[in-house]
Amino acid sequence: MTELFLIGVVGLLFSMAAFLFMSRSTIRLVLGTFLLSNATHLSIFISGRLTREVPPLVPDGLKVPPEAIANPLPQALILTAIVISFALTAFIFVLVYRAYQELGTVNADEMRVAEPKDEDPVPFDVLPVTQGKLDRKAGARGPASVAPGAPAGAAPQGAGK
Amino acid sequence: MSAVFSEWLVVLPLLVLLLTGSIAVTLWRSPAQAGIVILGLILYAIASALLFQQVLLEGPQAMAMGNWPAPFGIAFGVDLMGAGLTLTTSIVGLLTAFYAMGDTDQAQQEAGFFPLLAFLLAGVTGAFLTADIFNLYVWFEVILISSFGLMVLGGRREQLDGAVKYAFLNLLATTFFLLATGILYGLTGTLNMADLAGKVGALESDGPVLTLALLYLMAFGMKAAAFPLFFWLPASYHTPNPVVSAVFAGLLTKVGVYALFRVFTLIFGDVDGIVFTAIVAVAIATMVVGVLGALAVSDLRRVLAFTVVGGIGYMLLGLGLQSELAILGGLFYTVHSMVLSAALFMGSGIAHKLGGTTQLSRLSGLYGAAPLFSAFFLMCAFSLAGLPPFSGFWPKFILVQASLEAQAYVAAGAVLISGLLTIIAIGKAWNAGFWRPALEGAGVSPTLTTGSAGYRQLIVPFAMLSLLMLSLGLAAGPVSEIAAQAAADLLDPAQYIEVVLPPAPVESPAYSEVPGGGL
Repeated sequence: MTELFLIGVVGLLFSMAAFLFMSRSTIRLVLGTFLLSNATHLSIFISGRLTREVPPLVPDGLKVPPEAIANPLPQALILTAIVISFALTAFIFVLVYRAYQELGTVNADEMRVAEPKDEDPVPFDVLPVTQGKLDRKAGARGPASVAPGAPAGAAPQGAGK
Repeated sequence: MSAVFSEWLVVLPLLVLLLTGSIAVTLWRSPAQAGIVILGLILYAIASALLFQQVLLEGPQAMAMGNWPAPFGIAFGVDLMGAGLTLTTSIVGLLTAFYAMGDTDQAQQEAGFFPLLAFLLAGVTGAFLTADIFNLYVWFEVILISSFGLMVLGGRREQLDGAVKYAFLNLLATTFFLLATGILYGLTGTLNMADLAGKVGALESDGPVLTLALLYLMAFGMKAAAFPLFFWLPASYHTPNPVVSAVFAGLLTKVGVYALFRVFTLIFGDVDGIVFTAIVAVAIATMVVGVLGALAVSDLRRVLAFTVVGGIGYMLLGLGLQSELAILGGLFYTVHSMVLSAALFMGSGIAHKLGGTTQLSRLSGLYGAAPLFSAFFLMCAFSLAGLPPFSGFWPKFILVQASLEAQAYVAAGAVLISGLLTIIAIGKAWNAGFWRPALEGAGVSPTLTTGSAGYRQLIVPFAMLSLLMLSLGLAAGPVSEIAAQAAADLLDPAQYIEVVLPPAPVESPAYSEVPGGGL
């Protein structure tokens, strides 16, 4: 019964995280990361089976615990995962803030510095060939002079980056 | 060699790197970091070579951390694939560290470039050496956080833009990996890979096992930049310093590929064939879409980033076909791609400095400015396209033969077509940037000339990596034999399982409810 309830909670957390992760605002992405890691840690917890047993400690003088104990391994896994996700989330917070400072936006759709929308295309016939011979002089003047579809004056436009 | 030394040898590369990184971090803001890390990387390369020789002569090696017996402790296990990839990583890492001496400025070096590089290589090595699936997750996270640091070192606008996309999507990938590991633990009750091989093999291939297998495929596929989850790679790999791009392209995606090879031959090796059909389909899509992307962009470094994505498709095809020849081809391609991707990005860095830009519409005349550099770059371009006698030809040839033997005609056609399109893409880049006479009025300002000391610092590691690529191609026979042995070990992992998990009965403590009774 408890397991069913927790599984439902984990599913709810995953769906909320998925919704936030499909958002455009990077701040919502960070919140989605939070929820996603919490949901994952809870799912590891559930997979270790929920019991109402004593803590996993061996009393003095014995080599094995005398009675049934809670499973310590999922606890160790979750602790490691929490520490790791804490460090990563701290980094992501600062990264989002620095990106906001540099790029001036938190809208991921508008962050187009790395993949610009309009690049200078390079035609496939980069080396112009006239009458079967390589036209070196025409190439020296640039593709704009021979390829009709290429943007005129590729140099000044591109220099404005 | 005594048994104790051979046990320590399993983790010696890793220990050397962790020690190097830690010592370098204590020298924060000091220029001595570079020297310490390069010395450490030389020792790391020697340790990796010794480990490789040991595994080649005596088979898989294992060691139990803290002498806690497997499966209760964390075990490290090296077979020929892990040892070979570690050796390649050490050579590529050392040469990129030399290249970094010329490519990073004083501020970046003082801000900790070299310790971050040491920890990144430690994460990669740990991932190749471990035999515990949760430990694999920890090494993935070590790689991730070090790569975050390297990605933003420099703080340029495009770096931060690329880093945002890289960070979120890779975080998502490792979280999926963690989720899958948690469910796998709930299903089987163990984390040791050799133990998992037995326990998952005993389960029926229905609902939970199939879901887990596909979840692992998605998680590692995202790390390895497979279709359709690869878009973080062309969005971010071209933004940091070229040396950082070289390390990332050479090593990070290949760790994802290694994890796929390990999980789908050792743990999920007997799962239903639909999973391997899915892997082949993903591979074909990755090959084709990757090279179509390379044709579409007009920045040299983005072209190379897309060809890295296309290369992942070949490795996944080798895994999906599941025959010894196919896995041989996949492993050979992995080693070749590690060396070649790093070399190509190093070359793009030199091209940027010589030509002033990497935009192919404005970059020109590099052959006239630096003929020797252009010759090496052409060698790498031919290898990327898959032309003999360079190292790119042999694994593609082996993969086509394996596809035809497995009657996967679509896959064979995809390999050949994407090879053709790669020739066109890299040929366009070569024509525009190197062969074309220098454009007048392109508005570029080169920051390096041939003959300066800075140029020598960059060209020597690039040339050595290119020559290594050439020797991989010329020595394809011995390399294929080693890869064949590694492939045989992967398809029949009995020796690896026996070494990592000795069949000695250990009394287990009384847990009230132990996972492993199935769901």
